[in-house]
Amino acid sequence: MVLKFSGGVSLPKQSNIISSSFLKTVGNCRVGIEVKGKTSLALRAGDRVSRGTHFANMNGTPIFAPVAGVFEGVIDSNGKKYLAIKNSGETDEVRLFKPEEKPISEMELDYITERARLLSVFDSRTGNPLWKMLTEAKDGIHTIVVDCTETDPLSSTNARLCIEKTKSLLGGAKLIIKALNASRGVFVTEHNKKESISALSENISDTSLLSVARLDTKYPYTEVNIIRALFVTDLAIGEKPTDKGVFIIGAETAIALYDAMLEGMPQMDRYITVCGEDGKGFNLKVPKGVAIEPLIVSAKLKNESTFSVINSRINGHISERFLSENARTVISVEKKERTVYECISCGKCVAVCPVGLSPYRVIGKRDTTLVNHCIACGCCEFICPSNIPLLKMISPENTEVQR
Amino acid sequence: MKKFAHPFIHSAETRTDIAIDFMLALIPVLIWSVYIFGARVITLCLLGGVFSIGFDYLFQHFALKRTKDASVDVMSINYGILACFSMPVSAPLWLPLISSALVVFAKNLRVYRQKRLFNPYIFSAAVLNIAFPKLMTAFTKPFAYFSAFDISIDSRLLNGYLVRSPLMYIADGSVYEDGAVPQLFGYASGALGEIAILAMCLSLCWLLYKKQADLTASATFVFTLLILSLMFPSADAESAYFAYSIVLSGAIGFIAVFALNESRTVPITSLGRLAFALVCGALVFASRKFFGGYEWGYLIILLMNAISPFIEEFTVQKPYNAIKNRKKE
Repeated sequence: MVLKFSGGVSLPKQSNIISSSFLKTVGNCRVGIEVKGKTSLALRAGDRVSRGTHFANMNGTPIFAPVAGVFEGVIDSNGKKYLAIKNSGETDEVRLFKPEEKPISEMELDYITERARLLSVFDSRTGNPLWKMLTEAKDGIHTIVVDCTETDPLSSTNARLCIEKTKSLLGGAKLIIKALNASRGVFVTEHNKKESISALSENISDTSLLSVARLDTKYPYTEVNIIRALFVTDLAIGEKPTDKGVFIIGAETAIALYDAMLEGMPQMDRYITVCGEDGKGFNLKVPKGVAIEPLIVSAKLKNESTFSVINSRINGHISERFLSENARTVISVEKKERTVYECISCGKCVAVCPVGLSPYRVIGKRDTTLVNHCIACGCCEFICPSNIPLLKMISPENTEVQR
Repeated sequence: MKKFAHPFIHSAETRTDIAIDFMLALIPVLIWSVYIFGARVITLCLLGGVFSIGFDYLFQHFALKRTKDASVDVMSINYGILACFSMPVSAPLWLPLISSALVVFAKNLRVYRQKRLFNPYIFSAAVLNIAFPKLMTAFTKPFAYFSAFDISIDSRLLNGYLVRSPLMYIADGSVYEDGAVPQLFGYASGALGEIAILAMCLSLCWLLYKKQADLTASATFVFTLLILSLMFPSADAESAYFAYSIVLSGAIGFIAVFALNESRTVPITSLGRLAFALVCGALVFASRKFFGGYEWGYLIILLMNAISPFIEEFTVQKPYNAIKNRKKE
């Protein structure tokens, strides 16, 4: 059964690259890990690092070098600070942890949380450290939702991970279910991702614990939409899925946790899709924090009239210099100018709003309800046949933040 | 560095596409009308469409000082044709000129949050019915084809073909004597675009398929009329005959299909449209029962158009994520 939910939009182009495996890129791309919060350095600028070298701590999470090369210290880029490593292209690697030997059934929350911290596992949906998310969501979680949906129909990262990393995905989900003492895990995916659905369904042995939910193909898949589709309930303002007993993580997060624990290697790679608006591109396995521009250039998706968008053309943002922890897709988008016409009161913005707002009411008058309740998904502005910049009118400061 | 904020993609559907969807919805009615009344229908509608877009261009260019989007509103053509739909085939060829001017005036009349005060083609129909009652009610026999190019029809010729419309029967305390089938197929006399109920149903299906219409409003309007007619019959006929006579006569189909789906003059919210259609249905029924003879539906729609922003204000849906706040309050 396809689970429907109100709001969201159907985007025209589907990915052409769902069948292509992840290519591992090595190259000599510089990497940069964004500095967020209290950070202490374990090395000095100019020191040499191997892949897996522990070179910094950020808010209690150890940071490991995803490539071998030279640590360049803290650099500035577009107002953000990064811990940069100049990639030497060498493949030397250090192993700091032993592969996990304990069976999942013997692991407790604190143990899994600590391993997630030590192995530097970050959530691919939110970009937050997994151990912090687990710590904050200790009690009352009944369902673990593993988000296998794509950020954009042009992306195929998660669909491909479901096919290629099925065992790790299921194992990671079980680890988190165990950690939070939840009663079940649900993999949510778009209903048109048939290969991914069958890969998951065929490998689930305990159907009372794990299941696959097929969602209507409408973007973006915000937590508001996922919660509504699965539980037919709404998140109030300020309410988190954990307040409803639901813990949502990205598919890559579950895989990263399982693989990191199994191999005793921290999470140092990311799985992403790099593509153009025509749907052509590549699924790539890249080092964490890889520089984005060289990826676009090497995929021959860069020209004078394009710019790179992270995750989604609907609610994504212009790419920074380095890949962020929550980036799953890089799309090269053509710059387009649009003429704005006056509102024709077609009501399409109301129909696509995931939180039931009436975005047209912002025209000519500031509406505080809209400003307070808008989740800045961009659906209203996408659908408007008069090209009215509704989102920017509702919440200019909100869109500014998301750029 | 120049920055762009999301979304970075835009739906392919433009307002011109929407106008074209509406234009295609007019085709079944137009074809059937040409079959019933002859080529003069084409001349009238062509004049209506051309004059409307022309006047609209001039109005926007010179009165509103718009230069960029002055020429692109295809919807003006639709409004011009729809205005002609409420005329009889015997209408003189200068009448579309006046109707187009009225359409453009109403089209550019704004009151609140960019909402139009009146539906342009209903405004035109209402004004023409008041200003030229004789011309607007000179209904002729079906298949009596008149010249497509005569500015006006010779009155001696016209008098030989004049017939009473089903609405006139109701005004006299009677019902249309040939039954429902001629009204469904448009063989009863009436205005160009208002007679063929089945053709209008096709138009509605197309608009629903293209998601440009809301069945709630159309169905509520028709059902309200039907139920009230069955509950409070009058005329020297059984209640069922009276009911279908009310629903199939005059501009009911035209209002249900086109006027109630003219988004800029009806509430956007579903609940608002439902309330709008319900009140319209009740008022149209009352007008036919107590003040028959004239198509009061036009004036009722205009009245409701004027208050639709207020209906919308009262029926705006609460955000889903306001639940907790509501409970707290």
